[in-house]
Amino acid sequence: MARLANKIALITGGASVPARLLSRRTLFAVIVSSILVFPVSGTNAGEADTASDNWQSYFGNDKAWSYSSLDQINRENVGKLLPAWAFSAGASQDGLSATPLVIDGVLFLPTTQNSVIALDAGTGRLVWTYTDKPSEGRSGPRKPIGLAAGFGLIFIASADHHLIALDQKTGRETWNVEISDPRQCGCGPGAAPLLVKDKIVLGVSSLDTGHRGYLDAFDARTGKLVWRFWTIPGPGEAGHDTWPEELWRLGTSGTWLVGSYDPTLNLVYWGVGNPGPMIGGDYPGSKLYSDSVVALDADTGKLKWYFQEIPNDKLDYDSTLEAVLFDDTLDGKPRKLLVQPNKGGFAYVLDRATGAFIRGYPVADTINWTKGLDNNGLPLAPRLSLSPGVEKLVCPGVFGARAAGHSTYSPHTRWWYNTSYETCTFQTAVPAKPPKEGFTFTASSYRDTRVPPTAHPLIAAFDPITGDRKWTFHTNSANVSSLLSTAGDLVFGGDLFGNAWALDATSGKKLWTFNIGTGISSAPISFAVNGRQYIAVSGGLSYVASALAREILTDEEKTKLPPVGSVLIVFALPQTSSRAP
Amino acid sequence: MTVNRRMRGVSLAALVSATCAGLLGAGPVRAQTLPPAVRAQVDAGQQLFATTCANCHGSAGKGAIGPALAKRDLSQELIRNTFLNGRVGTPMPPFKDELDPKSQAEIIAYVQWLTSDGRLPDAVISIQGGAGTALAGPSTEPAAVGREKGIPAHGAALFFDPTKLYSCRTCHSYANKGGPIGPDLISVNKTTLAIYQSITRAKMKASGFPPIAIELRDGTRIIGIRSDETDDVLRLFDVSSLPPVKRSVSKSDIKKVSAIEDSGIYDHTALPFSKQDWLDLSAYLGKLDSPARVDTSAVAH
Repeated sequence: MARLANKIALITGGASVPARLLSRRTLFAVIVSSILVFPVSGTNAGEADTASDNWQSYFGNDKAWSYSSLDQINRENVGKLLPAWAFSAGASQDGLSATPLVIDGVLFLPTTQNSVIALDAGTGRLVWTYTDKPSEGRSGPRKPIGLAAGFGLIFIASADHHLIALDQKTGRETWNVEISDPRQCGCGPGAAPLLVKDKIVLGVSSLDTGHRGYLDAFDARTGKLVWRFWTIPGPGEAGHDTWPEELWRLGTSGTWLVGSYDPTLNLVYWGVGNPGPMIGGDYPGSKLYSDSVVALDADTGKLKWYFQEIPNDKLDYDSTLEAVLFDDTLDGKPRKLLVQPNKGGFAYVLDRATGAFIRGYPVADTINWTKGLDNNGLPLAPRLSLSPGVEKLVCPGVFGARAAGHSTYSPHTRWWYNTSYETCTFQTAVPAKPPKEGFTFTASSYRDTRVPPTAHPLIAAFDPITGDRKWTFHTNSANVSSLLSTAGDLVFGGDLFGNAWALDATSGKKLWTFNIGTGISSAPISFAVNGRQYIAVSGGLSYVASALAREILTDEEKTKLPPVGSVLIVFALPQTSSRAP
Repeated sequence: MTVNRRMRGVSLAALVSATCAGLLGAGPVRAQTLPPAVRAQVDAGQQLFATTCANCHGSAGKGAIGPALAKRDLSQELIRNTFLNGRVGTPMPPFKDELDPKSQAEIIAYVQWLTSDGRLPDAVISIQGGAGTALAGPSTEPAAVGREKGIPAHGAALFFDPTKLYSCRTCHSYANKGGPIGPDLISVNKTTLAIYQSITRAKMKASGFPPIAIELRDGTRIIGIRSDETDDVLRLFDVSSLPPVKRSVSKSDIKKVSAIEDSGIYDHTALPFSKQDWLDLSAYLGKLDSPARVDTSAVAH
């Protein structure tokens, strides 16, 4: 109740007015000036909603929703959104594609230079800065864009493949594990660490260099590795025989994005990437658990079930994207479900307790590698295959229907919002060199990724079970930002040209836009401090986004691209309450 | 599940575009009167570039995860140096031991053609002076470890085995690759036998990386291998699990730090290596024994 009162106090102009000093006049203002007063609640105004004020993990919750239950900013007032404060993270190399965390009024910002910066979330005032020692060797491919938090610690995975725990209050390093040496494997961490109970779960990324993929869980308090799940089964393990003997040791199958967790089933869900060679090659076998979503026991890392979306993928269609957990009714029965899109342009609805395939549907318009999915969720034959000396246009192209970033699910609309780049790439098969650890492993030559003249990059709202498209919003170029939905029925994102925007979650209509001066490839987040809701957008294109922009934009469009920057802009509604009666 | 109309349209567009592209030709050759050998080298480099470089530097070097190379006017010296030696702090690996000198020269020639916007190099590029010499890797011939034999190439494969957590590389480095504990083992000037005797002993002598015990004011005891210190903190590697965890301990919390003599802090003999594995590792890491130093007694396992 105190929190609710605090919010009321803020709305009426008294951010610093203690709840106990709320006057009758203040309450009167809340009741009377309904036009000026923003609804306060999370899902339930009466409940203690610390969780919704905070943004405590990469996706905001364990279910990979990227959803905020704050609704102070909504469809009616979002047009008034303005910057409340801004922060420059300094070096702009590799941009700033950060998903910050917010915990009890402190915002933690990861930078591509392996730093974590703690800021007062209401004002942007600097609290502390942690800077990792610059890498002396080779860096992995991914720069830090996300963090995890728990047990009084902030966790960052650095580009040179360390997992580091910092004291949340001081920023001082507590423990630091070098997971592997990128000079040897070309590997780095996945996009962000994920807190699962008392563990930090972290994937591995590479530039499709030869390595054996895995998913790790570290004890959050001590840094000790608790379990490792190899995504390629070893000799004697089930599934090992799905690999050619000469390939399994270096068959890639990375885990380079972020998973989700269901505490009631105690299962961790994670997407696994493509096998090596990245594209093409004549190697046989389904190559488990490449291009699969795997469900692992959170305590032991033991495989509970898997669902392989593309057996023997030869087009780089990783299944690494987020597995979004949601509950719904199917044939009159309540079901625990997940929906996971892949780079190949399809989404898969699975029973998340058993892994049973329920339904699949396209989330991209521009797909030519298969005509669809069969009743078991497998791509229909014939699949497009590459040939030496013959150039083919492959859709989706090398960036996939979506290569990174994430979707959002709103429990308010019960819809799922997803992006498709709608690009294609010309590909020609070439002979593969044998895999070598740390070096690119591919068997194709490619050129010119582009949006075909008939296609339009899009964001679409789906009924997550049926795949029925509720609306489609055509973006001005491929949308490389992640999406955020809120209880205010808004979907936030941004574009390559620096326009942050908000869409009406029910209609797809654009309601607000603000140019932050540098391209956006980040995940907007929402949080509240002292009852005021904020939307944070970081600016500065990530390497994936920059690469995509270089490939798909026309020369004229490129002249409109702002330089890559490194800024965090935090928006809020103007504090109009001082004028309230 | 059926394909929608737009998908079919794209398939058709794909065919048309691909055909056009084929007719137009995308090769690097331009009308220019230069020795055919230069042109051949650039053409060969284009093929290699596709599978070696394009994943990071984009098709035709337009840039992707790695920087653009096309039309950058990079000097041949810079191209050569970066390509062969890699670039510290980035994902760019050194290729000097990855490809044979002929292929290296071809890629450099192609990149020079790209970066100068289609100007062929003045002369055929050659790579000499050691580049590519490590391509062959460690010897596959048995080497003496005392009176036993080990195969260096097997040892190298074990040292860097990418499929196991307990591979030596998790903690140790060889030739600048691997983990943070101990000296780079390429610099350790010991015979194969001395290496064997050292690494198969449960209790190891440490040099420069002393095992220590830290006693905290609250009574907690932490043991590990000393790493480094600042004004405020002392750092040590906890090797009770793999990968090792580097812990930072506030000096203000420390009551006492003491060396652990003759430490059994990490028992290598507990690792699931066979005697032959140890011999192979010793053959890889050690210098060959001189006949006078062979001591067979120590090889009993």
